[in-house]
Amino acid sequence: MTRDATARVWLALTDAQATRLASSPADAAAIDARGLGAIVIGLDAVTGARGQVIDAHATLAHLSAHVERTALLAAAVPLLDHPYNIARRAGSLDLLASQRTGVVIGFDDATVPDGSDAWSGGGLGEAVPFSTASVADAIEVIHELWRAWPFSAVIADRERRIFVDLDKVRSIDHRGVYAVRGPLGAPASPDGLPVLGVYARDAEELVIALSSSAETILVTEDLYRRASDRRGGEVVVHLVLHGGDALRRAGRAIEDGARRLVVTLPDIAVPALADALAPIVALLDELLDEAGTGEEETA
Amino acid sequence: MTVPFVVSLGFVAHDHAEHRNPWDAQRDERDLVDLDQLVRRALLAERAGFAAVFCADFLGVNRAALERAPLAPYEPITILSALAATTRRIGLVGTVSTQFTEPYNAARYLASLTQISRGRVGWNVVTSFNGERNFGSGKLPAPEERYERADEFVAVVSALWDSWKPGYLAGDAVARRQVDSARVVDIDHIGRHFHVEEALDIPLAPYEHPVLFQAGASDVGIDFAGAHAEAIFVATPTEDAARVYGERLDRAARRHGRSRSDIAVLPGVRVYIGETREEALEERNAPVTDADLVRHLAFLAYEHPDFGFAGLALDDRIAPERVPSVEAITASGRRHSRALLYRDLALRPGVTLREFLLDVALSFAHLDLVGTPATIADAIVRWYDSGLADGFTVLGGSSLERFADEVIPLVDARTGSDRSGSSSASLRDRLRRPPLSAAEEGAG
Repeated sequence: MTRDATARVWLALTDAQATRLASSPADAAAIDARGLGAIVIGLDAVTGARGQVIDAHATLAHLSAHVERTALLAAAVPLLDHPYNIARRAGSLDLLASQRTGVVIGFDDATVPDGSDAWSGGGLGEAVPFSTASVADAIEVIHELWRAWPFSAVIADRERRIFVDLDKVRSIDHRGVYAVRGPLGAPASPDGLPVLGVYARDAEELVIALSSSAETILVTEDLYRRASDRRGGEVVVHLVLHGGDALRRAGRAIEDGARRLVVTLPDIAVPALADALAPIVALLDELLDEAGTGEEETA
Repeated sequence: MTVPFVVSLGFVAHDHAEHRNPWDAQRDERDLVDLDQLVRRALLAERAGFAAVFCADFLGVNRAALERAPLAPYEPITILSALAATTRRIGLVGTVSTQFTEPYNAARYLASLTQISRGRVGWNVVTSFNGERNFGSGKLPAPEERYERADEFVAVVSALWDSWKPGYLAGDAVARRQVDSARVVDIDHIGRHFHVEEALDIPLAPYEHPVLFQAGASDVGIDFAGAHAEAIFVATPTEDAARVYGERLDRAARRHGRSRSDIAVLPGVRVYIGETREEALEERNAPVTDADLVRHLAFLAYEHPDFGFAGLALDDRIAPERVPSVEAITASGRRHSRALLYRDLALRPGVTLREFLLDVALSFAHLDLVGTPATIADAIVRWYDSGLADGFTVLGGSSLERFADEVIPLVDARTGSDRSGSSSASLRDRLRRPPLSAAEEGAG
């Protein structure tokens, strides 16, 4: 089994699994040892499956002490959360973690009643009706904020006693659905920018996702072909797999051309997750081997 | 009795007072974000018996300060969640704004951190004196309005934490139920600022509420503290200032049916240690250059524009008429309690701009303790014994190691306490003064 195939499979935890993993560092380390591409937390709220929702960012920050190489991705919805806060927390996680981290922006938060306004900052701004347009704008705010203060601005010039070159730190002055001046209060990580992903569940969300600045697009199975025609390798198909049907559906997605899979196994206990993914990894490995694909793959 | 110490994350992160260039002793720029170093020093603080590490927050960018170093590279909940994985006993106090966060989210963040850390959390409630530039185009509301919002915010968060009632774990193996949903009760809150219907989606239990910290020092801030706070960060640069603050807090607590003894007052302190007082003073003052002072003036003017002192050279005396009036300061709508302390520093007879800026840059109107380990321990015990402080928040100084190794043992020797014995207690209990014995009550 090649490392390439393993890294092309991401594990998306249910909220219940994430809650369990937060108190079980040994299980986190065991999953990390498999070499999967990423661990994703928080998708339940985005996909409508509600459970006990431990905060995804806090959980991943905690796990970052026990997970060394697997990318850590948190789902976030700009509904109760402001894009500045999402960008800031994700940027902070990326600064402290040694591996790649990032966010997957969703278009819905099942924990919030339909018709709610998006939280727009303590009543300081105009009300922001929550919509695909507000999510699209939030994605751009996050994208811009992460680029407003590169780590190269940190020059630590001992002679001139200047730590940060302010010329390289810029405001974004974003005026869209949201009004955000920026920049964030800290630089991007010296290792680069966090992953910015978006999760599309239907055609309308897919259109927004495809035209956004997100570099990774997660889609449900039925959207995969349409999405991959446009953005190819940037598309990751999300499979929520139950019982005996799991391998057949994973195989079908792979036959459809999916080369990156994010897999949720709601029925599997946390300690058994890594083993449960092995047949799917093997299936992907077999196909990649046939196709002669050899490049390394990470989130 | 053990004098509790809380340490700021900034001091944990850098083995320097913040008035030094923090990168002086670092290998390279990446040390700014060296989590391993932060973890090592958090463990040092834990071993030394600090009750908690405290992560302040600043929602924005102060360019004048940024040129020297980022104020807060990490968002509090994120970094404290990481530290929760590597520490075992030390409390984790994070700042979450009531202005720029939704209470449902705040309740979830703090409950998550509580679960992750097994109940070691404190919440520093702030109404934020900046940050509005990133959250719309409106102006920051006046302090009264911010605190009114904070009042409702705390009530909502508290109700959410209580929405999982005792006995919610059903443990019904036959029905495969883990949670008795009848014991997870919606809060149905409808208030002026917030409408929150449902219960929180994560339990706080089996842990208690996070300890509620607060730092407001304006009239409305102290009133809020009197109503809600369990521990307080406060800038009281002198014993007189601490006495006046304590009296105001006592009155505020009584107004809300509470007692001053319900609240642990933890003044901010910077500790400069030397073999002699002169050596300690040199340690304090030497790293500050004229360029630093000029930068600091810009920093000050960012927060309080009335303190611009345009046209004044560093060695010019500050004429009293150049000092902003109380009315001008309180009308600014920003953090005027600190500006009023700066005003007192600027009004000292004959003070030069250099002397004023040196004090502001080094202490930010907090307490400075400068001396030998013995004189510093004496001062700490004096403040504690006289009730001016129930503990301290160590914000900076010469060296965290020296404070841990040389000052804390002396404090414990003088108070007859064994800090190692208290480390298994909850954060709340570590901050509380022990109840008076019957004999002491009789003597009082």
